Amino acid sequence: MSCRASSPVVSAAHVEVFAQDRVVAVPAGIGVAPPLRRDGAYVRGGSCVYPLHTLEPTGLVLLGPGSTRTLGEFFELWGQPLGPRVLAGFPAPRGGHVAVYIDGVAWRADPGAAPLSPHAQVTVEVGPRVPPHANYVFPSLALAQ
Amino acid sequence: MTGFAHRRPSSRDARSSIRGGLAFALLALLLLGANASPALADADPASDVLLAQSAFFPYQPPVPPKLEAAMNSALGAAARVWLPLKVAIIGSREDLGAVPEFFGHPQPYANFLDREISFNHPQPLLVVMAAGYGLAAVGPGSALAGVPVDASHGSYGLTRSAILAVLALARAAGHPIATPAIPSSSASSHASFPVALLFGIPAAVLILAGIAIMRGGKPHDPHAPPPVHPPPA
Repeated sequence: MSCRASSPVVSAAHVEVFAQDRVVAVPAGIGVAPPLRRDGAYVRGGSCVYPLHTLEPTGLVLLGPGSTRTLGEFFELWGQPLGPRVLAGFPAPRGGHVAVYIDGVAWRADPGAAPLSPHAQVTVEVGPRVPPHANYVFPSLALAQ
Repeated sequence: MTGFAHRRPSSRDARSSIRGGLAFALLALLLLGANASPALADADPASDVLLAQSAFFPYQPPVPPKLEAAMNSALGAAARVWLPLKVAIIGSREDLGAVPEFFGHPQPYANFLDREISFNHPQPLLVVMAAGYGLAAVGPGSALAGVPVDASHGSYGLTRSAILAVLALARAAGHPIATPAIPSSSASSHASFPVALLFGIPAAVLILAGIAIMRGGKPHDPHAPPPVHPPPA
């Protein structure tokens, strides 16, 4: 995965993150190299863009062409740890683990291997269970960029 | 996954990006942790965007920048002389993410959204949909009786209605604010489209037809094989 001056967007996924019964905001600018061009809550661009990036702080992850990306790749670009027992710096409680849901269905394998498929609604959480959303209405704009 | 960092532009940039992202995430976590209901939070784009700015605009069609500026100007003026109002303009189900069932129900959505974005105190909020207005921690609703929602001009009409609603609410509260310059719909960013539609496309058709006739071929062969595109990179 390389950082390029522009990256066509072919689809999007939505990622929600919950830790210890609280929301962890997914910021705009993940997968966009600084200096970032900010516009209010949004990032309009940077020096280069990975084919897996966010431009708004809504959890909308824009996907470029090519093979299916994974949640692990996304967290690596974000700079946050993700594993069976840690999520964005939050450790799993004793006997617990990081849970991933795709379209509301539990993903049983390694959290980092969860696919970010087109129009997937992905919920990642650690701590008390937060009922995951099964669907998300994606903006058509994301697919037209 | 290993060795990913070296593909970034530079480790210095990467560290800066990580620090920024981490700081933002932790700040947001602290803010959201104060009062949010996890089962409801993060479902809709407006709840995230309104943490960092005062207005959420519809995805499609995009609101012209000058009209966005007028909305922000009105909200800035309201914050200075009255209260820090936030506005969510919802044009379609796309603008509601995981809670599309609120589309067409501005007041229930205002109640829902206000719980997401209020922390130590209620957050004054105005929701605008084609179906009407929703209010939370601001009023009275009767102030908007004379401000019908313009549902016939898409995002432009909704945003213009939102601006007029903010003015009406401020006036009713005894804190009138100046009306910002609201660009006309014809002066929006789409102004160049009719020109292209009226002149550009017919001209292109005439030129292509002329070339086809000169070459003795047909303007379009429905049995021709489809164009072949290179595989994605």
